[in-house]
Amino acid sequence: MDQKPSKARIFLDPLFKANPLFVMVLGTCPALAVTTSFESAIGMGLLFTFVVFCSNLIISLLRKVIPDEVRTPCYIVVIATFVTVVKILSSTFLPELYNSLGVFVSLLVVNCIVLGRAEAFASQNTVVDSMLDGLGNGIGYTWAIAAIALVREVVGAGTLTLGKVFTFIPKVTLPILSGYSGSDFSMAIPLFKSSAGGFLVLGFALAIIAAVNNYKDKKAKEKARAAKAAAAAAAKGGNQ
Amino acid sequence: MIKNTYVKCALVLGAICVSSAVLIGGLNTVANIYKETHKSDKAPTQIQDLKPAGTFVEVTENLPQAVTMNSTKITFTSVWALMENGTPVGYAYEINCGKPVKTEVTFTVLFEGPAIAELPELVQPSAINVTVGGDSGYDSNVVKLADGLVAGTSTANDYSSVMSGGTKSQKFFIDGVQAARKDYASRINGQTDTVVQKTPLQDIYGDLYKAEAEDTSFTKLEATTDHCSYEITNRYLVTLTNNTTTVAYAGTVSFQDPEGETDVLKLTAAFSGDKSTVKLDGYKVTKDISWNDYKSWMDGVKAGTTSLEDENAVHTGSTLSTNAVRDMILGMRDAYVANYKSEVEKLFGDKYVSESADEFAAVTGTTDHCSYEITKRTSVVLTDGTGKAYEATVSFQDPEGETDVLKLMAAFSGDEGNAKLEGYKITKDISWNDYKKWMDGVKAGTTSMDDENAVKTGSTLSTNAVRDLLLAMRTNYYATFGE
Repeated sequence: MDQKPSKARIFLDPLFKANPLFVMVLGTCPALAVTTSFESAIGMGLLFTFVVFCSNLIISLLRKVIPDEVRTPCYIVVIATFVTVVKILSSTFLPELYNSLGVFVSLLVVNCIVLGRAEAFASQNTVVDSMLDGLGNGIGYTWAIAAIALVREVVGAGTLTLGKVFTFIPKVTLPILSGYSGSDFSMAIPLFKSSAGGFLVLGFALAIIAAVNNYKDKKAKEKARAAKAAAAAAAKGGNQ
Repeated sequence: MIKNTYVKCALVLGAICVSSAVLIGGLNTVANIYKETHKSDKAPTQIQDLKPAGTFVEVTENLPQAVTMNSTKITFTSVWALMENGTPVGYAYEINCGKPVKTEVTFTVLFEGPAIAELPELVQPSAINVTVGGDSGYDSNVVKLADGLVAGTSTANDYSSVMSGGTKSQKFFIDGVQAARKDYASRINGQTDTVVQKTPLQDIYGDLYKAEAEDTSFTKLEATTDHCSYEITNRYLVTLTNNTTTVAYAGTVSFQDPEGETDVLKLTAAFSGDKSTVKLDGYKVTKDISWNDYKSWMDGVKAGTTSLEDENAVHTGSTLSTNAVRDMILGMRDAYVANYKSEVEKLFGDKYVSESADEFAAVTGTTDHCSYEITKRTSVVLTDGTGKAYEATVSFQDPEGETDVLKLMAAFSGDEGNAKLEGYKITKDISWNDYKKWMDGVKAGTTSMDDENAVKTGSTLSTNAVRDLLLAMRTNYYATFGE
């Protein structure tokens, strides 16, 4: 019988071990589309976190009430409600963020991570566990797209601009690979701001994570093999 | 407990949908209120960022036309005047240069100070904000070029400053700067009309407009109809050059457009006439929408060819918006009628019940002080009896030897031999107008109309003239008791 994971595991696993983007390779469409700017990616991540957290919460609360026959339409309505809520909130309080994300805010309704967590987790677990799962997946997805956006903006533009989307902070452009005043120095590679650059960065990230996981698996297997050999040797000595 | 699965499914799904609608509806209302109460008078960010401390006013007339340059066609999205002490000291342009490949090049640019109209190439931008620099990956070179133009290290006279990488975007951008500075060099020298900020009512009445005053006692009117929700927020009293007064209302109407979006339209509409002959004098849309065929319906109502009452007249290409606008205009019209008071009613105040014009032959007369003509008489039913209102003209010699002409209305009530001046209104005034103090005394009952010694104001000539007129009116008033 499967042992139920602890609350800490429910929250922490989606951050790294079962990261929705880097490990499960879900939600790649917005991850490529909104990661040309670091601030837009952070904004998208925050909106995503709100939607997945709230929809998990409500679906978990209603899991015993919703008949199995209409569970998918019910989940869609709940998710669409929270997507509409973030749409209204962002267009009212952060119009620059809303404009920069464009249609991808509305497309959260059909985001496979949100629907997937509702179907696979929230509909079968307690409210607290579902909230932790939603929060973990939200934060996990946010840092993943923020990391991609950071690389793409810095390498693609040579600078990092803050305050353009989150207008409540002062606007500043940090020179990193270019943009130094009085200098034409630039190591920016514009390709990274294009769609192809998005695929490249995501591909590199997935390759690195796969290599790390392979290395960990290999080490674990070697460790298991060594333990097995040690156990066999011990058994042999005992027989003699 | 419900056991039927179909009923249970329908109930649960229905309950979730209703809850969702309530949540979204409530939030949307709150968001709209927030947006309305936090409206900024500042220019849009992309313009204001060019000079954060500057005051920008949008130029709405004589806008530059789209122009085809060497590489692309340049469209002026908007033009803003940088104002100082009420005069433009610079202009900001919002420009769309079209798509070099897939993504447009758009930017805002500010020019300040004097320029020679014939030498636009000498004009240097004081700030540029590249909003979209063309195709992703090459847009940073457009930003660098813009920075160079502001710093004076690059030139927009030709394409010599174009850097490797995104050359087409940069050429489009240079075309945009050239088009903007050419317009600026003309505009700042007054070769196109400078900004004239007109109120909506000035636009509506044109040369007839004299003055306007907001009715601060007006309470906002809100309503929701089958087609829209609207609120009438302001009421204005407009004085025209012919000294007539009209009334205008400003309001906002919201409705669902054919794409399911909420469209918001703002307009000011002016009305004139009495309760039965009320007509739409004109309208000014201050926030428009794309579905704007409603204007053809409005023009019909204004011209009198379309009846405001005829709901079947809403046969334009934008039925939803026209129905919404019609509902608000009807609301404004009803508010106008409800608040309408004839001049005679105003003279009698709360005592007024109804009025009817008398068949009246004009009464003329000449006295030691003046000559007068009483042109119109109206019979009025009051809550405590009856009264008469008169319209008249009186002419007299002023202290400078000129003939002054004064037109007024006066209202009398009371019994024969005991007339009371209820009120008066001057429709054509003169500069020697201390006679009003005397009239106010008569109206208040502190001055007797019969006491010629009471005429001790600073404008004796005009007061004596007006007194003679009022005495003639009173005589006529007493005579009506015998009719």
